Amino acid sequence: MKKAADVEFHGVVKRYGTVAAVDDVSFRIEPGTLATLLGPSGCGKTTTLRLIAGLEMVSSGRITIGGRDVTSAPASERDVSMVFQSYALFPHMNVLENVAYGPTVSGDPAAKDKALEKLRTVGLEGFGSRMPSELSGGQQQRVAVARALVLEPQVLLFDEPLSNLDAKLRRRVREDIRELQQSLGLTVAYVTHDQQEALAVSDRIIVMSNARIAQIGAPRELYETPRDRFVADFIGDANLVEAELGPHRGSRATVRLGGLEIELDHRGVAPGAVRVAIRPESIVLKKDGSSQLRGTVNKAAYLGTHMEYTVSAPVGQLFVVDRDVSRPIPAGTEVSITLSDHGVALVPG
Amino acid sequence: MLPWYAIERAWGAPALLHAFQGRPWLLPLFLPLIGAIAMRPWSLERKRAGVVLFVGGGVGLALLLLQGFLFRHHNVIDVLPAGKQALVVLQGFLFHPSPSNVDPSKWPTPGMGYGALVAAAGYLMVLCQGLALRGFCRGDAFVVGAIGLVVASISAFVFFPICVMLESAFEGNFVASFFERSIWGVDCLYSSLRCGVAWNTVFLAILVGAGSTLLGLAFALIAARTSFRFKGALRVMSVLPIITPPFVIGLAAILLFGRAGAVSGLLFDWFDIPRSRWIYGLAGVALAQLLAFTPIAFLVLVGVVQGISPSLEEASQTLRARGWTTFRTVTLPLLRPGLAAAFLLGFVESMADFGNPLVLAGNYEVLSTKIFFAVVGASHDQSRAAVLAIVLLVFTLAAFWAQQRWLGRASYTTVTGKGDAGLPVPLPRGLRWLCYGIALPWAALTLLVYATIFVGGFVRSVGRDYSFTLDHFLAGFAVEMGQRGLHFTGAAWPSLTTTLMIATIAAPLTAAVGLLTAWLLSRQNFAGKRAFEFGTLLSFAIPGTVVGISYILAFNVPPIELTGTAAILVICFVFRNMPVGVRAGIATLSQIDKSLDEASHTLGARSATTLRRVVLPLLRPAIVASLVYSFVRAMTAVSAVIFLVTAEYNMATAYIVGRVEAGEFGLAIAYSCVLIAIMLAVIGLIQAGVGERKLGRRETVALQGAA
Repeated sequence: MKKAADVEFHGVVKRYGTVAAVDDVSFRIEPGTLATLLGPSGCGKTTTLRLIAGLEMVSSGRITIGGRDVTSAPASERDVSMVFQSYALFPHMNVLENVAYGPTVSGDPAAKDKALEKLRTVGLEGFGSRMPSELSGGQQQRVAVARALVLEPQVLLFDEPLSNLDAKLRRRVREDIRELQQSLGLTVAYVTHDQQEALAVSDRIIVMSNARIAQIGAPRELYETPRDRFVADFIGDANLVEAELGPHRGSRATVRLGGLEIELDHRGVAPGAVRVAIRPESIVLKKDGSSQLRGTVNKAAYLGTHMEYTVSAPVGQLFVVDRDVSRPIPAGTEVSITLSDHGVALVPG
Repeated sequence: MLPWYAIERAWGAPALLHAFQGRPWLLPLFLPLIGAIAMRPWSLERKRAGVVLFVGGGVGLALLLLQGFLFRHHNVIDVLPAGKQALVVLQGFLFHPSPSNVDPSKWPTPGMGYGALVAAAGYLMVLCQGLALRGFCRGDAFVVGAIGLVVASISAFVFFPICVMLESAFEGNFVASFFERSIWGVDCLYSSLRCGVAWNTVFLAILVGAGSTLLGLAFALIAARTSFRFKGALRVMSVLPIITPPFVIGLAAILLFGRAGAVSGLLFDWFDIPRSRWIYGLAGVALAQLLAFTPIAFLVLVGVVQGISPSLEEASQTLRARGWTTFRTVTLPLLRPGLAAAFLLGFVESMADFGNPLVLAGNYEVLSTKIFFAVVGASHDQSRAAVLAIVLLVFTLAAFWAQQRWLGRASYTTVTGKGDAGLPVPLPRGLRWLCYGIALPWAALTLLVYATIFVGGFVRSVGRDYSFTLDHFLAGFAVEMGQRGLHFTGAAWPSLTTTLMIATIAAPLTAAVGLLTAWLLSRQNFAGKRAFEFGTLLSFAIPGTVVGISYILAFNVPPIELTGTAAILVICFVFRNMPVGVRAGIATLSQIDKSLDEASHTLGARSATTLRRVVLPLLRPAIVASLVYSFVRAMTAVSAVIFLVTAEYNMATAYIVGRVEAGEFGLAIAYSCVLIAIMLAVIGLIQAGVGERKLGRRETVALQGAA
């Protein structure tokens, strides 16, 4: 396997007419890591991926792969492979011909052997003579992965690879992809709009919104310290609550939230009115607690592994997840509300 | 890059020779090349090298054209004394020769030869390489080169002749002749007078366009979606009319339905229906054109019907849509690009058709024949012909615009990269019978027409004397054993061999140019794409008569001197028939998911490789359509060819028209039979050679059970 390369964007802009699909985007994907481009549809994540592949050309800015400037190099001259959302298997070729396509067109005499090896890697030995239409969705997807791997590219790109699979299969395929990436030490850029998928597979997540980068960070970082409302809301569920920030004391400060007082990292936010993101599982409800913050349960739902509550409180409607399913709180009950010490963060933006 | 230079150097000697023999204007041609080499582009960084090559190629090409046109005739130089002076000054500036060194007797240069062609192509490629290096078209040199090539050849062989033609249109009083009553009059609406020729043409074209689309759809549905037992026969029969020179159908129609025709005679004998001249006029022309153009619609539509992903129809059925509803709400809308293409094709073909109106129109005047008679007839009025041509152009462009509007922006991708395994849905019962009801009588009529053509070759005279004879064939195709082997003594042999040769050269060229253009239009984004598309369509919109005249006007004189050669015939066919390849290619490509191309690119295949390995195999139906069409058209075309043939390069159709004029109907029809037989054989070969598109869908066995 060739050495995995890094991918760097320097102030990349992609315009279609007057509309910017990608607007001044800079980031770096470390070699051998999996980075996810995450965002709602139309945020520019797929365009970003296609810019890496060379299927779109930048309007301005610079792209380097493994230190080489590829800004004006066409797709066929970049050492990058892509797994398409639709898989894009050539319908007139069988599985083996599909997988062997890359080495075949570059005149590699060992094309067939390489293809067979990759088919083995993805667990499709013996399927070589089938036509793509004779495979299930999951198998087609694995053929697409094998085809992308066969050139041992410096960077592998995935465009929403799970969107055509059913839920059970998704988890398995996403684990397969992660395992493959780690065992082969590949640099992978992965586009998805599913935050759970992103959290599960990524080393780093690049959250995009309206053609710009909203935040870059490890999954944990994004989940626990979102930089703005958008990220807080998009990654996992979050209750965004108005609060009052007291004076800074070192890196910490006191936050008044309804009747509650908690201590948080102030993250550079000036004292005054602020917004706090509270994860649903960080809210603790008690029927007979003595908290200063009280509310009423509006809805209660049993989901097997956990309970979900909607609580109306002076700070607003709160969405709560409770792992304790043995003592459900019926709707209509008045509860006291406390917060656990993680999963609560100030949101600067 | 180097091979181009090498070729140019090989050519350099004679041009250099000329340059020092009193034609110094050839010298500057070498400057850009020398300049570009001197800058050593290969040692420069990408963008700078691009600029050098772009400028070098551009200047070279510009100089080439400049010398070609400026030194076209004496009088150009004489008429433009300023230009002459400027040139002399320019030359003086460059080479310091005294003006007397320039020998005026050598100014009318001969037409450009192969050397100039190679040089022009070389400079063009240098220019395109430069553009690609500058990042045009995502830096893809192949794509830029292809665009450059198509643009250059279309400008040379479509726009340039038309410009020459228009020049002559504006020689007279353009406005007055354009709005003349004989063109635009609507007298027929309120009086017994005839309407203008423009309205006649449009009415006929709409009739034929709609009719051929409908008939073609019926045949396509039967061929692709039913278990009809005689599909093979249906296919052959529906292909028959295209392989017939158009006027032959007109001729057969006269033999059948004319006053002395076979059918008219029977009707008179059996039912006492009086013999009439109804066939000479709108009804006759429309009938003959429908017979001629329905197969084209069929060829376009059958590819589209087969390309519709069965899973879409299955999806509709699972959504509780019954067969008919599915057809109406899913299948038919997905057929829209094909339907629009078929209608447009029929519409334009009808407008440009020349053979059938010539034989059948009688008093019903249409533009194409009127143009012909404006030039060939006693009046010999080129500017009037050009004015009529502009009218025709306006209509065709309107048809194109309407098609674009109708198709809208919806996506019609149905062959996606996700292999789908569905079964095509059989036609709903009612629709099936409707299709049979439309197609079968039509097929019977077609059969009758062909029987007439076939029988006509073997009998003394259709309608009068049905005794068997081989005389007509012997007159045309006699072969005798002489002292030195076989002697092809038949009168038709020379024109037949010429025709075959030219059709064989033209067909693959036409398909290649057409499909390349289609691919560029639907897969690449580049500045000026709309203009590019318009250019390719323009050659479609010009009727053959006008093309013929414009080619004669444009290529009778340097810089491109081609009249009287076989090359002009080939070029004429390539650029006249290319739009069919473009249309068929675009219709098929719009159903192939773009990510297939992209997947190929990311796997390291360049554009050329992608085109060859991924796009072309999926384009097979379009390849067959355009190969068949261009070959057949090259064998059967009359309108443009009739102006371009010479004694040395006579074409079969021109020869047949000559026989018809001489009253030798028997030989004419016998020759047509031979042509048809040859074309059938060639079509069979093409279809066997290119093969069916492999989509890996399951076989339609279940369909047959269901139907």
